[in-house]
Amino acid sequence: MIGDWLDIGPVDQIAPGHARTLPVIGGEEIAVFHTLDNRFYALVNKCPHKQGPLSQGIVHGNVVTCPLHNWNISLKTGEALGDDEGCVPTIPLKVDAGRIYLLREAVLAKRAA
Amino acid sequence: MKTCVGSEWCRFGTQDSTGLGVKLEQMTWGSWMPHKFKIAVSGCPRNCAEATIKDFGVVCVDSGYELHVGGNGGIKVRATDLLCKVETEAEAMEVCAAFIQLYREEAWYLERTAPWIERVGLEHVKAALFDSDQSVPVLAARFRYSQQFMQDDPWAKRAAGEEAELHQHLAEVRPFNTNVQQMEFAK
Ligand code: SF4
Ligand code: FES
Repeated sequence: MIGDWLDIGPVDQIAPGHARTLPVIGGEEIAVFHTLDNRFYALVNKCPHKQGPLSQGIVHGNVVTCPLHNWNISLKTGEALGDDEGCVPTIPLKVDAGRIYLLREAVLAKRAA
Repeated sequence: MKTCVGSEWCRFGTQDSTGLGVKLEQMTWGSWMPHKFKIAVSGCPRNCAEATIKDFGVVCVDSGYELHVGGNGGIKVRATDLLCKVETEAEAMEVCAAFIQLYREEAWYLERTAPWIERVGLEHVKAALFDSDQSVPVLAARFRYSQQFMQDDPWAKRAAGEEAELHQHLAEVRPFNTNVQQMEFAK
């Protein structure tokens, strides 16, 4: 992916199975996830159902379960799984030399509220 | 653990049933048992907390506390048997700890107090607790000793700050702040 990457710090800031948040002034808060099998993903921190804070959900496989009403959201695609329908924007992420980078234009993207 | 609202909130209340409930919960949480164990404290004999269908039920009265045991509210309802009456909260807690310890030591695995008492008889339980003045303090001391090792509260540790970083933001992106521009890396 071509573009500017924002360095948001070392991978060990997020324990496996956990997520942490990155507020964006004038934009939408981002949740950065570290899965138990050592993959990293970033999503807008808003469940497509009723804006639940996905960063506080339970991470299993490549899925996070929303803490509010248990929707399962794919960390890869941002899409609701099973019978639920909805999608949350994903933010391209890469890990390089032990640091996490997010695609700048996706972080700063203006989204319809 | 269940209580009614007690003397603090109810005009019929004879004792602080919620306060005793909190103390019993703090004394007993985390303990291993043969099976689940329900406790209730009602502030008067109107018994709003339904203490007479619990494994250990306290009914507060003007003169102190009636302690009931061996109740069950499930598929096979069983009202409690009256174990004894005591005058103070401290005694009620001591008998509760001793009764639980006796149950832990004698009942079969997966045997609730109701079938246990039906099997061994209320007289056996009373004799084991009250024939000697030493039985209650010795059993209660064994219960309290083991609780030192069982009460490991993960939420208290979190509230005291353990892993507090999990709840803090990683950073903050301020698009128009030049400091952030310096954090950027071109591919
Ligand atoms: S059990 Fe008695 S004290 Fe407790 S709420 Fe009922 S009436 Fe009030
Ligand atoms: S807000 Fe996430 S499941 Fe309802």
